[in-house]
Amino acid sequence: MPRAVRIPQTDAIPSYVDRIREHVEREEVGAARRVLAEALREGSTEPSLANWERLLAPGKVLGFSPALDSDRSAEFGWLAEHGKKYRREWVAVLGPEMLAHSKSYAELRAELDKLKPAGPPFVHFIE
Amino acid sequence: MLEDRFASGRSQFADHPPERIEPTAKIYVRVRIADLPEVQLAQLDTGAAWSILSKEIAAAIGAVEETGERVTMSSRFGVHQGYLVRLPVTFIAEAGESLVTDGTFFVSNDWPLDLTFLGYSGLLDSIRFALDPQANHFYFGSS
Repeated sequence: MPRAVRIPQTDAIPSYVDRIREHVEREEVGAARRVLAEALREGSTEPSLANWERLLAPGKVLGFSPALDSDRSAEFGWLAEHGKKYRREWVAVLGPEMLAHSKSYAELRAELDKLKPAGPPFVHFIE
Repeated sequence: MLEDRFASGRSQFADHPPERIEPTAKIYVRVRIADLPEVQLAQLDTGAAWSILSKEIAAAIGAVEETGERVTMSSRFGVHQGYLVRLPVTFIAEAGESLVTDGTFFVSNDWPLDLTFLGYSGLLDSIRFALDPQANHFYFGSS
């Protein structure tokens, strides 16, 4: 008489979070969102699921700001003329003048905090 | 003619980096990242699943690995270890109103460029946008 044989399971079932990460790394955003929805529907309590819920959500409009930018042709003109001298550096330009430059963005920011420019500078990394 | 108010803001886009001419045109728009006061250029990349943020800017705004989820991504530059984080981004208008949205960005120490890229998923998929290439105008608004 035939008897049922128990097949040993060697492969653990991947967690929802592992499956989500795998899809994300393959740029399969739709599939990652579907696994996330399934996990939430099933009431999964896997840690970091809430983080993935936030990361995989479509962007959310947070509001509107009346703050407007000015014409930046002076800044672009400065960069076109002098930018090549600052390759691999961050530069901050306001109007036709450079305010600061540095190989480090953190140093550039610290310098700008000290300078307190009259308006928001244009900051750019020159590749 | 449509009566729908498609966009709430407009800015001038650049079709090449200000310091050099490139063989092919790209779209660089003005943004403000998180609460940084300055204006920066970011490249629109509708073909990219994710947006990418310079590791130096990420560090400056506190978007460190502990605040995100670790992932490994592939690009034309190779394989990059990094993490995904959610951040506010402002599309800065020259006319109309600036638009504040949030988006998911990939940050990696291995990523070789310091330019910000705006990808489709979790950022551009939440807004309306359009280009007028003759005038270099970038229109944007809430969808």
